[in-house]
Amino acid sequence: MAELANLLFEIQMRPLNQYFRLTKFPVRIGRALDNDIILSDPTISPYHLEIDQHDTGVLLFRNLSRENGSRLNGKRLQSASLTLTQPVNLKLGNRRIRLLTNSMQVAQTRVNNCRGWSRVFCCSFCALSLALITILAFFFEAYLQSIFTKELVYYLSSVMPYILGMLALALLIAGISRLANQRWEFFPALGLVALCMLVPHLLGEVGHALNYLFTANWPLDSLLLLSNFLLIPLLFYSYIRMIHHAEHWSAFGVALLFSAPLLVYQAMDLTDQWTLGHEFTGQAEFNRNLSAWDLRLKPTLNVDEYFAAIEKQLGS
Amino acid sequence: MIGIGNYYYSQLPRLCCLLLILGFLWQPVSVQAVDRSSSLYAEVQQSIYQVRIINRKTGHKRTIGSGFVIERPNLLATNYHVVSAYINDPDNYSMEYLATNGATGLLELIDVDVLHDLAVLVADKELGKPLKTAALPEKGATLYAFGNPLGLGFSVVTGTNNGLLTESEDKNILFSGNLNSGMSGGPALNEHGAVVGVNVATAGNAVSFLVASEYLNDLLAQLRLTDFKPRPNLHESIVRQLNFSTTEMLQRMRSNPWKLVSVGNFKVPSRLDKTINCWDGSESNEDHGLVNVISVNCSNEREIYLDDKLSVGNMQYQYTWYDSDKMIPPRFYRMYEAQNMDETDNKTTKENVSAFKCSTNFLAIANQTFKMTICRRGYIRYQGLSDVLVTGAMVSQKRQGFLFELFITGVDFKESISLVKKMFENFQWQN
Repeated sequence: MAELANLLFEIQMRPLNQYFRLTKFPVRIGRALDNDIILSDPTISPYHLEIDQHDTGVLLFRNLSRENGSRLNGKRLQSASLTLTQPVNLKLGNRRIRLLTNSMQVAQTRVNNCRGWSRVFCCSFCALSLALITILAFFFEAYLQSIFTKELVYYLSSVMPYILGMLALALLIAGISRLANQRWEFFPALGLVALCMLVPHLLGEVGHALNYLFTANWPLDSLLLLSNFLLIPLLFYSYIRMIHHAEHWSAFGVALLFSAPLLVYQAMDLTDQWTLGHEFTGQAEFNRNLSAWDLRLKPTLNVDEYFAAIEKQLGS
Repeated sequence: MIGIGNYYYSQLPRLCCLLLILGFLWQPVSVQAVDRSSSLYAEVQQSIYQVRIINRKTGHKRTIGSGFVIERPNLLATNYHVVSAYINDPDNYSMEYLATNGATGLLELIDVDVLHDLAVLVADKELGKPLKTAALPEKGATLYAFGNPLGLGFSVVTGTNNGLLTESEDKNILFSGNLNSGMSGGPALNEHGAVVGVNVATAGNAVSFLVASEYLNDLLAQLRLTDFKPRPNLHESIVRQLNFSTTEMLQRMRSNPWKLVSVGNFKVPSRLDKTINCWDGSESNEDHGLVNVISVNCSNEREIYLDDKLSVGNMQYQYTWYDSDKMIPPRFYRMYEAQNMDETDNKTTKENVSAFKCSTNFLAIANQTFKMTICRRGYIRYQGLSDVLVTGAMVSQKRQGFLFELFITGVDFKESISLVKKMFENFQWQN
C-alpha cells in the first residue's frame, strides 16, 4: 500500500520530466488556475481529472473532461479505482503522465559505451581526426583528377565546398540533438557527417579495385547499391543509440524517418536506372576500368589463345 | 557527304539560300558552256524523269529523286537510295515517275546495286529515247548534270569532271558542280549527250560525286541475261552483295603489305589499304597539361547506304598514346581510365541490330599486356553481317598508356577478327 507522502505525479517532458509529490487528496488536475496541479497543455480541459485516495490506500480516478478525455493504462477512463503496485500510465488529452511511488525502480544509468567504430561518437579527438582524414581524402582525389600542375591553393579551394558542407550538416545535426538533449554535442555530429562522406568514397575505391580484379562491373555496382540504401540509416542508428541513448527500436525508427527522403530519392534513381538499363542504347557494355597496379584474376593470354577465347564466346 | 535523294520540305529554306549564293559564284566561269547546255537540255528533256516514292496511306510523296531512260524505252536508271524506302517497305510505298510535261505513271523495281547506289526500274509504258553511256572524258572536261533539284523543276547543272576517286572504296567521279537534293539518280552527260555518271552525293561547295557509268553497264549486262525480268529474292541478293563487298575489302586489307608508323613507343600499321585515310589526332599540350598525347585516326570514309537509319561498310580505327613522367601512377591512371571510358558514338536502332555481346580478356601484344575487349552485334534484317567493336588499353606500364579502338560495320565476323589478329601481330614495342 502506497503511503501518502510517497506518491509521485510524473509529467513526461523532454528532456527532463517534471514531478509533483502528492501530499493531500483529492487532487484535481487541469488547465484552470484553481487546480491542485496546473497543466498548461492546450489539449487539457480546465478541469480534467480528479484523483482521490481511500483510507485503504485504493486510488480513485474520475475523468472530468468532456473534450479530450483521459486514459488509464491505455483504456478510456470515466471512473476507476486501483491499488498502486506498479507505475500507472495516464493520458490526459495528449499529455502523458505516470503515477509512481518512491520505492519503484528507475531505469539503469546508461554509460557511454564507446568501443571500436562507435568511439567516433564520443571521442572528440577521433571525430576531428576523421573529419581531417575525410578532407585529406577529397584533397587527394582532387589532386588525382587534375592533369595540370596546380598551386596548393587550387586543391584547397576544391575541398572547401566539402568542408563547408561537412560543417553545415554537422551543425544541423548537432542543433537537432541540442533541441532534444538540451546540450551541445558537436563532435559526435561532426564524426557522423565525416563518416557519411568518407565511407561512400572509400567504398567507391574498393569497388573500383574489385571491378578490375574480377574484370566486371558488378562489384562496384553492388557496393554502391548497399552504400546508397544502408549506410546513412545505419550511421544515424548508431548515432541516435550513442548520443540520445535511445532504445533499439526507437533508434531504428528515428534513423529510418530521417533517412527516408534520401532512401526515396535513391529508390527513384534506381528505378530510373533500371528503366534505362532495359532500353536499347546501341552501346557496348563491358568493364572499362584500368588500374596502375594491374591486380586481377584473369590470366594474360597470348594472341592465339586470346582469339580462340573470342571465337568460343562470340563466334556463333 | 550527304545523299541528295532524300529531300524533305523542312530543308527547303537552307538549301535554297545555299543554291543562290553558289549560283553567283559559278555563273561567269561557265559562260562558254551555256550554249551546249541549252541544246543538250532540249535533246535529253524527254529522257529524264522525276522518281517519287509515294506513301500509299496518304498518297503523297515521301522521297523524290531523278531518273533517266536507259537501254530500253521503258527502263529508268536511278540511285538505290532514291528507292530504298520502297525496297525496305514495299507494302507501304509505291513508286511513280513524273515527266517534264506532267505525265505520271507507276514504276516497278527490276534490280539494284547497293554497293554503287544504283537501281533499275521499269515503267508501265514507253517513256522516251534511251540515253547512251560513255567512258569518262579527260580531267577538266565539262559535264552536264540533269535532275530536279529540290523538286523545283527540271534543271541542268554545269560542272567539271575531276576524275575517278581511285583511293576510295566507292570509286566515284569527283564532279565540281552544285548537285542538290532531288537530283540524285539524274544523269551527268558529256557534251555529246552520253551518260558518264549518275548524280549521287554532294559535300557542298560544288564538291559533288557521280557513280561511274561502267557500274550501270555492269548491272544492265547482268539484266540482259534475264531479259530484264524483276529479280526474285532481291533482299537476299542485297545481303550477298554486301557480304561479298565487305569480305573482299577485309581480305584485301589483310593481304596488303602494311607500313608501320610510330605512335609513342609502339609501331603500328597505319593505312591498311589505299582506301583508308589517316589523320593526326594529337591534341596540343595545353589541353592535356602534364600528359603527352599522340593520336592517329584512320577511316575508310565509306558508308553503303541501306536506309535513312542504316548504312554499313564503314571501318575506323584509332591509336592513342599517353605518357607522363610528372604524374604518380594513380594520377596517370585516373586520366587514362577516363579516356578509356569514352564511348564511341555508334548509335543505331533496335529494329536494325541486336545488342552487343562482349568478351574482355588480357592479352600480350609485343611484350606488353592489353586489357582487350571485342564486341559483336548482328544485323536483324541482313543475316550474316555484324558490327565489330575492338577496344583495348595497355596496362603493363605505370606512366604510359596506349589505347586501340576499331569499329567496323556490316561485315563478316570471322573475316574481321582475322584482320584484327594480323594487326595485333604487327604491333611492335620500341624502347
